[in-house]
Amino acid sequence: MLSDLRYRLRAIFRRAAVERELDEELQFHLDRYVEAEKRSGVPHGEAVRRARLVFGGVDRAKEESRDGRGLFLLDTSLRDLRQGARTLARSPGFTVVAMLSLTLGIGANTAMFQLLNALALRPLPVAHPEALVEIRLPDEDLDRARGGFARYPALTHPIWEHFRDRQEAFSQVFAWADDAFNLAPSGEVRLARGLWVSGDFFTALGVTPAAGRLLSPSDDRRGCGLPGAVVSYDFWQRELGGDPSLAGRKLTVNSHRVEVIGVAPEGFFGVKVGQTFDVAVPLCSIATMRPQVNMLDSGTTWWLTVMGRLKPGWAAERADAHTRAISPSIFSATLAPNYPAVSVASYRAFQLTTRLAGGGISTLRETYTRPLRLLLAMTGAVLLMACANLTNLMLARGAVRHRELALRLALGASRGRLVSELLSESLIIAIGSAVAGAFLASTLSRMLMTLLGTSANPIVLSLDTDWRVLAFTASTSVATCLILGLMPALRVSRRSPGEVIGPGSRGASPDHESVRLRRSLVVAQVALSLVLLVGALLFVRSFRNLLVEPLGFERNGVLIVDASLPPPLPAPEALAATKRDLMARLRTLPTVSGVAETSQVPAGGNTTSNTVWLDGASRRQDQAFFSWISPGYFATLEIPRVAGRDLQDSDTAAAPMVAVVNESFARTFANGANPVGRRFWIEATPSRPETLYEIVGLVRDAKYQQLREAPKPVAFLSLAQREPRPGALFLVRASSVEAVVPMVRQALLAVNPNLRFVFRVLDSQIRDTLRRDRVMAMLSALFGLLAGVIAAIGLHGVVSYMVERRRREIGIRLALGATRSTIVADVFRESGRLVAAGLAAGILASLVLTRSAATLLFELTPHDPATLAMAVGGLAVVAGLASYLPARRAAHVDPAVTLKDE
Amino acid sequence: MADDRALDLPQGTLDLLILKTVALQPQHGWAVSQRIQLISSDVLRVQQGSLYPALHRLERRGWIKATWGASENNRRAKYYEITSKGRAQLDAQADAWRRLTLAVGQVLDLT
Repeated sequence: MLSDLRYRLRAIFRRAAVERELDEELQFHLDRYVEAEKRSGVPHGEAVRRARLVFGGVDRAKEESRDGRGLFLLDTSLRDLRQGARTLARSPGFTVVAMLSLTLGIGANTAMFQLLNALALRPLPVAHPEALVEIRLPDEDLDRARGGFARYPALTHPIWEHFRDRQEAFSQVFAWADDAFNLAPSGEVRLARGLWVSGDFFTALGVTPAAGRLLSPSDDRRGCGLPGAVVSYDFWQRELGGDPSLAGRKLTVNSHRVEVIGVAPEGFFGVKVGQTFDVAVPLCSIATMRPQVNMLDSGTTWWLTVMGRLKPGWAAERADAHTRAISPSIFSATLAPNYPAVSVASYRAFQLTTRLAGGGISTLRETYTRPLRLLLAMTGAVLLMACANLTNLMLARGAVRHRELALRLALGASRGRLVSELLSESLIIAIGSAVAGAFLASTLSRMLMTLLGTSANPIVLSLDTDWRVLAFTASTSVATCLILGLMPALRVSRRSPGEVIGPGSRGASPDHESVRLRRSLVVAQVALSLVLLVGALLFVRSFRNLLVEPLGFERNGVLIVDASLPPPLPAPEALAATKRDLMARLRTLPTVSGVAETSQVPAGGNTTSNTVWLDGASRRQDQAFFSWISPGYFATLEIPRVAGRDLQDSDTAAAPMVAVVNESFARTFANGANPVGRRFWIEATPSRPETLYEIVGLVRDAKYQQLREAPKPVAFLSLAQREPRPGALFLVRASSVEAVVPMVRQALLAVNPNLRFVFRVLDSQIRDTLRRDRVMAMLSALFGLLAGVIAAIGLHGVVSYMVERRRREIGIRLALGATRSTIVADVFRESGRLVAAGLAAGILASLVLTRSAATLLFELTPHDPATLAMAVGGLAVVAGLASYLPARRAAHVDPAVTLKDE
Repeated sequence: MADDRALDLPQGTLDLLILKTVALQPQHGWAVSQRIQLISSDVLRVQQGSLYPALHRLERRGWIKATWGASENNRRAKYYEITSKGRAQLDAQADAWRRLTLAVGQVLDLT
């Protein structure tokens, strides 16, 4: 083995010497043969000829001796690469086009993969992420859970405490909730991304502080007050100047002064993928920061995500069985006294389950994994098409180099060597583009991440290059190289030299097989580009549908004012007076035409629902949705009233409970009859018993939770008839939203200088909910156009080539009296056959492939015939243009010139 | 070039013949080819071109080693000689070959 290695090493590093020795050895052999022949009377010339004849190909012997020396892999590859680089340098145009298109292709693919990897594939950057599990209620249980949901899915604090104290499956358990913290001491709100964490949060995740100390179980005790906050590394750098001595550093969090006790390590974002945090405080501090709701004892406030680390030797299934087994005792012990009686039985039957959460928790993942997969497929298809174009070019180059290669084949070079030499050219292109593409990708993926996020809700993903990204880029470039090089290389070397350099051959005439190959490449390109075009049109049309979707209210010109008073809260009457005062001031502002308060912004993502039935009707399980509003709400949003009256200032807590309902509500509960005057029940909630409401008005349907929804039965209830809350949402209609903001700010501060508030614009908020659709429409349109252009280039190349090959024939036909239009028609017929085959294949492929986009489309089926027709028509026009130029060239062939050439 | 009496070498036997030839005394390539042809009474035909790849392969395996020396007519020539590893290999292969031919012969001689 050692001698083998030494031999190979000498062969590689002393190559010149070894080659010289080989030459000398073979020469010696030949000379001896010549000598021997001459001795038996053969003349010198003849002896030399015989020597070579008997010896066989000298080059082949050398070649095989080199193989015998065992330097095939390393040595010949280096040589091939040098040869390949020289060949590429001779045709810089081709090289630049190839490198550029592949850099873009590989870059875009890698960027998509980086995002997908960061979002869905990569484990959390914490110690042993594979042992992390989430403990939660299954969806069917969550649907029956009653109370207020701050996030979804979630558990209550009492459930968390009981689970923590009873479980035996996990070495550590922890709970957390994300929230928006206000860092401004007063006035306009400055939002930070906050985390409520249990004492074990940081230790269970195995993170170590970058400075100071992290929160520990001793910090998280009931009655803890405000023991301190841990800030993220980025926040520390950004807001605290990265000062390692944190002594006495304090932050204002929701109007409370909190000491900064430590800094989380760099790159630690919590466990929610796609988000990061700025400030983390212990769960127990919520009692001080939000005294108005007893979050720690409330059995009907669902706000915590509970996670755990499996004990060594515990499989996930065993832990799941354990959590289910201890569930009855947990839910019996935590049943809230105000839990609605009708739902108590289902509460007691809840079962905690576990699911592996080594990849973190993410709602973003559900939203974006499928779009990213689709985008990756699209970029992959574009890359494939670009490769096909380059393969075409390579084939054309191969045709030119036929003579050279055939000659070398005849001289004894092995086919394998020629193939590996040709492959090395594409290898250089592929590796070069992969490296450039990887750099491009990091910029592209960052751009895309910014595009997908909004300024209020940015997406934060760690886009570091890990082994998965490297493996992806590497395999992409290897595949590219093989597609690019292997087909032409095999084609070139398979032909017998005689065919090419034999008598009668015209040297560079390419074989029929490679023509067929090029034509099938074009067919495949047309098919692929049709699929991409159909996809692009689907997403663009779906986005357009969303843009023109009637909302039922006027979205333009509405300012949302999200205001709250810091604790201690004034008495309910004082609070109501403050609100009345504020709304009166806002109404008097110039250009303001409407002011209203609401519990939730329409199409803002929130829902409140409960079981509803008409008084006197049987109690069914139909759900209705609710908004609590002030008088003037419908006028402000310009929702037309159909019958009855609006809510009035007189609809106070003392007055009978009233509601305005929408037409869907009337359809669902009153069979479409005018419901005004009828009464309905709302099932008991934790905060309110079963209550009867009288319907006083009927309004048109409007979007409730989001744009992508069918009309929902909604009842608008009076804010004045509900227990007061510390925060309020005001809608202000003004002819110019921007102009009115400073005046609104003044009015707010004039009413109460302690008010905290933040402004949003209704129209932009709704537009932000469409960012996924916008990005899909933009990118798929881009890829669709790109695909069309690539297919056109490919088609143009092949048709031009066909015309070139038939130049002589066309010349003869023209000389014999064929008209130019016949020639043009002829070329079009040829290209038309290719395009038709491609379109047919493309239609079939789109019917199958676009189905995966179904869930992302709005009011559009993936098999929408109009879309398909548009794509086919568009591509046919492009294909026609691409064939027109070569057809015109064919028609202008000068018979005299062409025939004389031959 | 075709000679009806000459046989092409069965696959794999060239190595054996080379080993045997250089085992007798150190030889250069030309001599090896001549010697094989001579001893086998011109029955075995070694394609001269394929001799050198075989020599290099054997050298890489460490069964023969090469030294440069002066030839009979005073030219520099590469001489191959067998190594102890090569000798062991030769014994083993020769033994295998004999058993193979014996067995094949027995089968063919069946009446």
